[in-house]
Amino acid sequence: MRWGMLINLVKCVGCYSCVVKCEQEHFLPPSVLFGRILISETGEYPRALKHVYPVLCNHCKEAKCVDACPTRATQKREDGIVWVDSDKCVGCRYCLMACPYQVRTYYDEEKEYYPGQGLTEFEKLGRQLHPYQTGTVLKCTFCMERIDSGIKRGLKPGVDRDATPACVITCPSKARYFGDLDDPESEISMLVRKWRPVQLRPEYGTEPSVLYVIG
Amino acid sequence: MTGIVTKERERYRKFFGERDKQKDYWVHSVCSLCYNECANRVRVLDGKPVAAEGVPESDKGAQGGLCAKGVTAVMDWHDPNRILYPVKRTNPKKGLHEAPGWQRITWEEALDTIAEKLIAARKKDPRSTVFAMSPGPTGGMRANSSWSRFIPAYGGNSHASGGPGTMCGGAAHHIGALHYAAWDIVPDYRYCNYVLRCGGNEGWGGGRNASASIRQAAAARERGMKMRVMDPQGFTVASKGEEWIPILPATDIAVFLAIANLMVNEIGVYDKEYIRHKTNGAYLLGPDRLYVRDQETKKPLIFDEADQKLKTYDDPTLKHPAIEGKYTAHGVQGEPIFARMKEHLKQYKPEWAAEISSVPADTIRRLAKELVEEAKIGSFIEIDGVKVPYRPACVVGYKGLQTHSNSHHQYTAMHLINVLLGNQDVCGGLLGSGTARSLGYPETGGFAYSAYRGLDGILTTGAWPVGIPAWPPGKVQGPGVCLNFYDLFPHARSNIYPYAEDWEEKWKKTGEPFSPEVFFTYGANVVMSLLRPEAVEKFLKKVPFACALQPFHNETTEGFCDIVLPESHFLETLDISTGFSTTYSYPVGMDKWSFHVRMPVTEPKGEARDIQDVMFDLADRVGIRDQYNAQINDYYSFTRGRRMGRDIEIPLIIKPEERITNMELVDRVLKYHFGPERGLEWFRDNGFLTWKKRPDECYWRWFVDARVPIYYEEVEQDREEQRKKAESVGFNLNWDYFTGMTTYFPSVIYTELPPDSEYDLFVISQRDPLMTYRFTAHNPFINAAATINPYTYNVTMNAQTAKKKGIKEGDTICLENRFGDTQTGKVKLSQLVHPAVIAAVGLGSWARGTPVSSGKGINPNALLRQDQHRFCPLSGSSEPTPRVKVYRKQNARSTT
Repeated sequence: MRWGMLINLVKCVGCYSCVVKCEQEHFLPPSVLFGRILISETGEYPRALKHVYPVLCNHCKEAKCVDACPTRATQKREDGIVWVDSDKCVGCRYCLMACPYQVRTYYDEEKEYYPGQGLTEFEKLGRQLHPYQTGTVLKCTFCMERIDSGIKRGLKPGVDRDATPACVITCPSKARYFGDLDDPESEISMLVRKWRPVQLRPEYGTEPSVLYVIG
Repeated sequence: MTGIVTKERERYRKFFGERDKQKDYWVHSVCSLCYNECANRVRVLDGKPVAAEGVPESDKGAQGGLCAKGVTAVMDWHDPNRILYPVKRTNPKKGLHEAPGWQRITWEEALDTIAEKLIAARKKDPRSTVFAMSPGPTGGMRANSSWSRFIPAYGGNSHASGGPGTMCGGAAHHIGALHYAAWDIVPDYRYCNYVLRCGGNEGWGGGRNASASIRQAAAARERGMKMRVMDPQGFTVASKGEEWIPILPATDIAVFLAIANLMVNEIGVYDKEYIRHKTNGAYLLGPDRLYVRDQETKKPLIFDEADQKLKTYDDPTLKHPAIEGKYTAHGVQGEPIFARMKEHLKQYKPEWAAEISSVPADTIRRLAKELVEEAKIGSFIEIDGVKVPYRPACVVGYKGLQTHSNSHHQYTAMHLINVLLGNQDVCGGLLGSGTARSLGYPETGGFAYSAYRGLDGILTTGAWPVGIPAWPPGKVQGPGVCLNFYDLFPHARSNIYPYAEDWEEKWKKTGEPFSPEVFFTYGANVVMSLLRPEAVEKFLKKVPFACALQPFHNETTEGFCDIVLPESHFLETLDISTGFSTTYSYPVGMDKWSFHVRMPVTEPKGEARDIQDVMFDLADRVGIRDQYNAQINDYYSFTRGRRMGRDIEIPLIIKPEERITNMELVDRVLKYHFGPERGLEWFRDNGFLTWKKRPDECYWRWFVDARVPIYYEEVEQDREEQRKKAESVGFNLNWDYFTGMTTYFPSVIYTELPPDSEYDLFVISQRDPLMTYRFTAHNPFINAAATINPYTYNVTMNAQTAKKKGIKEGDTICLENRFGDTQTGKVKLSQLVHPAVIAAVGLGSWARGTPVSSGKGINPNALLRQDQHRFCPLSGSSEPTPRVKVYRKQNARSTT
């Protein structure tokens, strides 16, 4: 069992739904994003191209962040998800430096979404449900709460929406797919064979579980 | 809490109370943050909305996906800056940047005061109340129904655009009506193989059917649909095409006319049968540029080649209309419009178009060839057992294409190509933004309407989101009938007056039969959305009383309103109008009919109220409830689309004398169309309805006997009278522009300054997937995404042009027009912008009520000084492109 995600960049339009849905799902504090979109241009006018890469934690098979963590706060589950136990994290940020994809965030300061106007009910609720600790590192978890609670209810991640990462279900282009990369019959495995996606920076030897179809 | 509100809350709790007692529940509703009005489902936890998603079982939207704006809408509900109580202004000074000094008042005081002003103004002259609306944060269709239908009931006609029309789809909606019986156009993505897209971002995150189009276009790309994008900038939708073709703004018309010329006079392949039977191309045109008409019936004449006779367009024996040749009718020599057009097009050569547009002539020839090859003219396909024409190629565009001073001719030139391809509302081609024909909900036959053949055989809309149809055409009147000179320009209803710089001098010449006494605005932010704020300020300062109904403050309410009423957030709103956006934003093609009700997910906060109940209240107080009820009945019964020009009885959903509430209205409308079992209770508990679309609904073109214009005879009819009346108040226009034949006219941006002017850059304002007008900009989640999007808050400039001007990445730059108006922002250099163009999203807010968006981005409209030369008198579109010089600004502060 190894959870993986496939992002079809031919379909993706870079609308940021994945970025903000993740924020919403996890009640993220201001200035913390688990997913981002990297945008660049190559070429010269008029033969130029725009590149749009939604990025998130790659949940690498060979996770450098796990190796770098001195307290074992950063851990890898049997299903491949890499997560951070905030109670063990001391905020040394070695993992930030070790991660070649820069997809981790050091949460340094509590802020309000409407600065100077107090916390909204959304934020208060968020702090109860997700008491993020300042001085620790936060990152994408492939929505492991959704996956775990979904499986308990007999749902299938990647197939059933309530058990699937929020960024996958929100995509208006249906550009994102999720499933078990170790199961040859899963939709994601079939699409990998069909579309031959690439990994980001394979030369780092990290074996990312997030794959990209670049057309 | 006010008595009115207490009663409403009691009604709400009686109906939704059990549901709302649950700790954790989901509600099926409808998003309102853009025109798409996607189906959504919203999670409420401990009484607070916390999450929004799409609905996989519905086709209204992204089938489970939801764009960033829709997702983050829940945060707006939590926004501490929401207006929750009626307020009145205590600072008597009005002006840009003035602090209003809001004081809370009761609904009774607010409504009594507003009604008193409306009554007094109506007594003087109903036209002295100026209505300004825009589809705002609570939904596109709300503005068109609950709000706009108040105006004819009131007896007024003073529209001052809130932004739509003149700065958006002026030509698109009018021509959309005439050609597609729909508000806008969308490729039939399921079957289309080739799209030439110009000046619009539908399919990428902008435009009509935004999320549905993202989904459909993505699937089409995966299937191999080709897309060429012709646009001054290439970093939005062009990034998803195989080819970006840079073009100078507002010059697409030259390319389109050249392509049409190539198709008709060189390649020689175009859909002759479509022209014969489905356009006025077969109507005979006389030397006076008007139709040759039957002397008795006055109907346009056609020559039938089958039996060599002249016949009226509706003669049931008509078999083979001629589209070439010359014919004489009662002594008048005429020729088919198409024959005249064919000759007219010869002057538009690709080399000429290249000179104007900067698109190479070879590219233009290639595009013409590709369109013709891909369109498979003459072919058919079977869909669900029904044979329909198959034309899987189209040319499409929207705001960037047609919002210019040459709007009418620019947009009709594009549709000329689609007519020649024969792709209108057929499989694979170009469809109206929704479906113009509904054969009804299968179980009841309700929800039925159709486009139909109207005056002179021209296509007439059935379901139409606004009160005034595009056909039959309006007549020239006045001057002095309409505050915004719509009387003089009857197809330019939404135009830049009365805000334009030259309004006052022209209005004086009408003798000023009335003066603006009340300014009533909904959903709009006129200070920011139209032209330089100082011009709007000048007009608004003349109006003694201004009021608004909004969920949030903005620059207009703060600077100029005396009373602001708190509108409920869309998540608190019960709204049936969204289900009636059938030709506005319904899923196109063979997607399912998907009918949704915007259902409140929680009780409204504070004393916020639903606009429908507010307008019922106001109508009661002003004494026009009967008339208003009749308007609402007309809207929700699809009256026009069921009458189809005939005299038939339409039952009443709401009788004129009834005093029902919004909740009762919604229940009745639902039962009227979907049966007694499917009222509000059913929708509360079951969410929404879907049913299969039929091919003779979505590909209705050859099932409805009507023709589209390739010649706009109505433009010719009143020319002399129009010219006389318009000149009498100081309109000195190029009267050659008033021609029924689509003709090249340049935009004013190429004639108002010499080619070597130091104001050498054209500012365009591109759509951004995160922004709808400015009202999504104050959402902190949207702000977080916008901060990491390099194109949203920055001003984007061609890298080579910047280098020549000594400008580097990240510099603060100043954009300055020839009047000295400036905007300052941070530059992002790009290879994906035409060298003569600079691009910026319309932002630049300063309102105290929207602190998150304050100080971000620039307002390109602040560089616009508009007058009679900077609008299209045939469609009302403004010219939104200022010409500027650009330089680095040392020690600059950003924005205005």
